[in-house]
Amino acid sequence: MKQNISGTYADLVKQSHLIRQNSVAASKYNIQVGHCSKSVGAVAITEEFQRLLPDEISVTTSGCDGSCFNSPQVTLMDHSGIEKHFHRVKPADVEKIVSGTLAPSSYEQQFFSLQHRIVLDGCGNTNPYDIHEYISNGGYSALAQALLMSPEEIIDIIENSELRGRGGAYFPVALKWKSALQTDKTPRYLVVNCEEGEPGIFKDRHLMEGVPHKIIEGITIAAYASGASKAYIYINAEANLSNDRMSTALEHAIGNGILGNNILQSNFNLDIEIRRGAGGYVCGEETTLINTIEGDRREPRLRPPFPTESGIMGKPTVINNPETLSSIPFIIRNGPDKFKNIGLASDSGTKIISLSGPVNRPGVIEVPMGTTLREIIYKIGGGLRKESELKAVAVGGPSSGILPPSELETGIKPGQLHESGVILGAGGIIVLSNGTSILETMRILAQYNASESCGKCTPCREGTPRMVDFIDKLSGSNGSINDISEIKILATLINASSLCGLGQAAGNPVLSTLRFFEEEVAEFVKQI
Amino acid sequence: MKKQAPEQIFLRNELKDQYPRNRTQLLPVLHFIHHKFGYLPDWAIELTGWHLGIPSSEVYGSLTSYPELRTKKPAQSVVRICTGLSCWFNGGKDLLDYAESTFAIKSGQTTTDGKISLNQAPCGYICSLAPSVEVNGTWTGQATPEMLKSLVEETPTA
Repeated sequence: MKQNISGTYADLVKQSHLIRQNSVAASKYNIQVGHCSKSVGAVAITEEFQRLLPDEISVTTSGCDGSCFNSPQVTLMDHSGIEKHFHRVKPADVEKIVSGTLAPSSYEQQFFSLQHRIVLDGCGNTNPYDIHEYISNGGYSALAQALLMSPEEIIDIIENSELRGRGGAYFPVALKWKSALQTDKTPRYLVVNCEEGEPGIFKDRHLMEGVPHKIIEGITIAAYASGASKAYIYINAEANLSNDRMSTALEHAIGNGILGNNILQSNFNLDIEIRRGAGGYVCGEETTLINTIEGDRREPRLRPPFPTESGIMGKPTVINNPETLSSIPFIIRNGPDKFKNIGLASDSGTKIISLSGPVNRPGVIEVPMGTTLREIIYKIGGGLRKESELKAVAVGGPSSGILPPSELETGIKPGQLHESGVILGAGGIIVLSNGTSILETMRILAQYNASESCGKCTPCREGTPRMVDFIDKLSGSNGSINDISEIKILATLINASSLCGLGQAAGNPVLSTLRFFEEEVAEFVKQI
Repeated sequence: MKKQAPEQIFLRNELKDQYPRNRTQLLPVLHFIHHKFGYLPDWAIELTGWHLGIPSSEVYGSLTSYPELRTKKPAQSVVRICTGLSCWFNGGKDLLDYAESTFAIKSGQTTTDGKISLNQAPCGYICSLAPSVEVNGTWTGQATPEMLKSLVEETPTA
């Protein structure tokens, strides 16, 4: 059996190299097409390139490299291996690029040099539609390695790497897999939560568009280690490009014996099915996700029992984030220590951050745990745009809150960044400049929680709209100082008594905002 | 038995061919119908319940818990303006103001001729290219009021 797996993989690599050799072009143009760059014209550029270079090998598309501020981007790789980058390309530029009359843009050294790209590696320079490119760069070797081990051995490796879930809850991954494996109920399920319904976060799309095969490799290893025989990839209803790339990648993986029955000639079988969500922040909550897969309302269930004991159809179900799963091939290939040594001693690894707001270099970045907000905003993000000053940073989306400039030395880490309820969450960082109204910020976050509340439990259903009412009252002409303490009590109450994670964090935006900006709010109320 | 319209027969056959009669298929079936018709007509909701063996009331209850499934026929141009923090404070507010005054409707309304509906979206997930606007399912980043106007004029109907 062992020889079978290694042999099959070696054959696959050989075959991939051969196929790749036959498609070498003299010079290659790579266009970064992703959800973001599509919105600023990447598709029109691709069409223009294909019109000028109709052969099938000179023009390729990839996902984006994360430097959204430069999109759409084109990279020219000439026969000597020299890369030229073209930023913010317009359809009219394409002809000049092909004829060599357009001066290339400079490489964004600063944006990339402070990052530590493990998960994002391959985004922006590899073709997501080409499984052979992935395999000839060492792809699926971690799967071949993993299949030679027992599930328990893999869980040990992951445990030693101290990998925690990257969806926002940071639960130890090994523990989840172990508890599913230890139940004697079968079949077991694995769900990949790519719903990504959190405003301000766009990293899962980025991964699915850039490195779908890395996610699939991670899924397959995770399913093997947790004993699952069926996996669902749950993709947001609006993320059509992600769906397209993931389903193509799945087809190619099945076609090459990497998925399906007897994966790489082992006796492990895995069936992966794509499911589309239909919106909803609350789907990030595990039991809600299970309900939607089973065909029920988009509402959470009581926990316990936890999904690892009783999930889909009452069977053990492991739910992981694609970012978590994409770290797994790296850990298996390089050993747990290499991963553990990145970041902080207490919290290992890297985290993908979605950086937006009026900074010079917004985008998707990957940094080691412990990187400070100052480094992210000023070094990687290039600081604020002209005539903007930093007023606050919204970290972690609507379940978290905002931090003032005095907290910029805070390093990112799993869980709480500040006792007022600011958490890292799924890693969204939105920079707010001096013109921003604090009350308006608080209202947008509170309003989002109110409209996403599923209505199952009373504190969240009734409390979140009341919070918005209070904020409206404060921003209007009849607010009083008393309302500030009232809204604080309400927010604390919602946090303490709601059923699921959404409600239990719905008060955080209000609490953290008032913690740091109460004076400003009070000043505003007094003036009116 | 009441005679069925051609689209009802079509849908019944499609469901029979493609989807096992199992409750877990609810969301995939709803997506299929939503994609085919642009919304979920009442008769299709009933047909879904019949096919999957669940009461239509439960199909309705479940589908209305999802923000992205429509039960009404959409306008010719469905405009959604992102009101996430990044977009809102970097031009999104102006876009919404512009749209409300140009189309002479408030957010959440449809023009009287049924051509344009205006809505707010909580996030378009292109926060790094704020502000963003969606017209009939296609997002545009770094949008300006002029772009919004031409998008509505040029975009083919859904």
